[in-house]
Amino acid sequence: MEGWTKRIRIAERIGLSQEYGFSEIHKMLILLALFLLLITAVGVAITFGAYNISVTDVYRIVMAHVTPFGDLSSVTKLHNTIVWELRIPRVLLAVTVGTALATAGAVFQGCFRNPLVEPYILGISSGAAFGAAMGIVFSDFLLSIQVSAFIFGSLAVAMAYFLARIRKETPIVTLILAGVIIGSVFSAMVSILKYVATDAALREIVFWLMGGFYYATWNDVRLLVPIIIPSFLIMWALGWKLNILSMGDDEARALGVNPEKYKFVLITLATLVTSLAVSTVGIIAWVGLMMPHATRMMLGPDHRYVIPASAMLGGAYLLVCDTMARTLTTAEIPVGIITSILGAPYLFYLLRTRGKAMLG
Amino acid sequence: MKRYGQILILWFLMAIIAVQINPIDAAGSKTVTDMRGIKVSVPEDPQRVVAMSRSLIDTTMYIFGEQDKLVGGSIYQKGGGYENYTYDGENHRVCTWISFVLNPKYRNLTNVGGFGGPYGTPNVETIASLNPDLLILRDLGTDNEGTAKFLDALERLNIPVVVLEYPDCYDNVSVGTIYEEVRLLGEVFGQQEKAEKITSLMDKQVQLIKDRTKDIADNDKARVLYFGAPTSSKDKGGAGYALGTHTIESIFLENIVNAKNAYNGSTTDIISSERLLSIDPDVIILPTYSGHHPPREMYDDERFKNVQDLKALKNKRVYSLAATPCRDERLEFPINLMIEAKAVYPDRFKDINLEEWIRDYFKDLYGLDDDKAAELMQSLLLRYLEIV
Repeated sequence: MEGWTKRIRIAERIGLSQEYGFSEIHKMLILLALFLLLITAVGVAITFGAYNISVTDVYRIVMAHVTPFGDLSSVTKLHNTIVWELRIPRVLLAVTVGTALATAGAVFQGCFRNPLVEPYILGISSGAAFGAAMGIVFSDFLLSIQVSAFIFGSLAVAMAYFLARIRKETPIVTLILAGVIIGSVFSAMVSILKYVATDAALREIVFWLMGGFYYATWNDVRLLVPIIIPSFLIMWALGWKLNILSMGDDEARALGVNPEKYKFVLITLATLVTSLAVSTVGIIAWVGLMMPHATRMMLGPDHRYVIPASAMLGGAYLLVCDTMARTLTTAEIPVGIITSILGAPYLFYLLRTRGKAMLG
Repeated sequence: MKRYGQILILWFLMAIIAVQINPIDAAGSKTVTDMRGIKVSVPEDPQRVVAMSRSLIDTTMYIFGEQDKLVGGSIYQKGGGYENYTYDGENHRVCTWISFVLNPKYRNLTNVGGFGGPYGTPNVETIASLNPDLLILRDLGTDNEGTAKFLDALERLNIPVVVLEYPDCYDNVSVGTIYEEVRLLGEVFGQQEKAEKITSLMDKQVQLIKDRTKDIADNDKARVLYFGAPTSSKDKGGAGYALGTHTIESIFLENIVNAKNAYNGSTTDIISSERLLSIDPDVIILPTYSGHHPPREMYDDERFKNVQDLKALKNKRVYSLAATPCRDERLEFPINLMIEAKAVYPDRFKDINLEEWIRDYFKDLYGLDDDKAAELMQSLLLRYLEIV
């Protein structure tokens, strides 16, 4: 009881209790609506694809795999392969990656107290791109592009973090600058690898850098979900601490929160999920930057709500974009193009309608 | 007297106009019209030539016997062009660069870069340092702005430049453009007869294929997919590149081999496994667009397990093209056309033994003995790619 009273006092102090007229019920309803949106998006997305399969067959296949009552005898092996081996892993991977990037974006923006921050701010994308390019150019020496991308993506952030660490503290501005420096170094190294790569390897580096879910398999889902979902839950659980961190280090200390400890935990988790996502599907822009903005405009700045809402909105949004990417034309459209084209007008709309209240 | 003066002035003006229309070449030079339609004054007998193409110019110069005049060009520098391959149960170290096999000295030439390909960007200063008396550029039509700036810089350095234009530079993509390129090279080096011999040899093969497939009705045409499967994604699914109807490969496939491109996109696009299954072509051709892939990869590799229901895989109709660089039709282009034609319509090319046919083509084209021809055959990775 005492803890709860303390929280209310802090909430009043940091202005979360009366923020922008968003009541708790209102926020819960929005979260519920987002959850329903995500479920609906998944349900619809699995029925779309390049190969024409009836909706009944799609659901018959799904039911056969997820319930003990289904029967696959009435569907062809080919249809089963398309729905169960190709479409569903891709849909689940899009949702998982969207969740990861949006959650990481919300956490980074909260930690750095900067709405322009995205999950790639500390050089993850450049590090992962370098790792992937190494995996492609030196494929005889490195076993997997994905592992290499993950290692170098994480390494880039670790280097930025330790570069910025001064006297047991990690000032935000120094950390962002260190991220920019490390990112530039890795970008330059990617350019060197592109320069020395053979024609075919060069095409593969470009293929990888464009990002996309063309290759989604159940193995990717099995690898990502058990790491990303628990990481998301921990970040969500730390949403309250993030609210305090977002006021600044001095304020956090005054309120009894160790900013270094929580920043380290949150940045590590956000880096982990981003590195995993990037190493699996390449660099997908906008989701991590835009979704936290959009949810803040819907729900206010309280990270206890922003994190789950961002995750669900990010998952649904990336799923819609990827469904369009694979069905709009005969070819695959790089999903980053669609995330930008669709996202920019929506964010603009939100800025025009709610931005004044939010940003002054 | 005044009248004589007027006549003299008139004569002088006419002389100037005449010179503008038909420039008098400096001693030891001649004028050729390159494929841009520009008249270029080139040395009668060029001695220091920079050749920027992906082997069309240097291999043609080899046939002309002018190979020693090259001082630089777009030269591949990684490991001398050698790569390791395992086939027939043995490890092989193979150089897939035909110009290097023909003339190993090419490896030592100065690399000046190139537009596209693994050569780096063109370096005008390096070119100037070679003090060339002629530069020949094969414009692949991939970077018009960059090419224009590059040519402008060379003009300021007073380096004569002859531009060849790859078929993709034209709306009407045709093999005739390649013949035109070879003829222009013949004119530049005063080797018109040899150039004519090369184009006749190439055209003979093209006509052979055309003659055997021209009567195939539209409904009977095979649906063929050019599929570039990325090499390094060892543990991933069957997505890759599909070459669309406006690509040179597709145009040659439809116009010469008389088959249909199964993919109806226009450019080279990424397609997913699901799209690949929905296209379901009769035949899959693996070009070198994404490296050297033998058909066994599609039949056996884990990453293609979800596309095993494809007609082409079930009927074992996946074929690789020889290891000549993709998207760079040059003197060897009839080889890939013949491989493709035999793959698509095996009944019509039953009598063609690819191994013998390719060997004969090399011998006729380059005037080689059996040993050198065998070396060139190896550079095509015919066994590794299961072509023979």
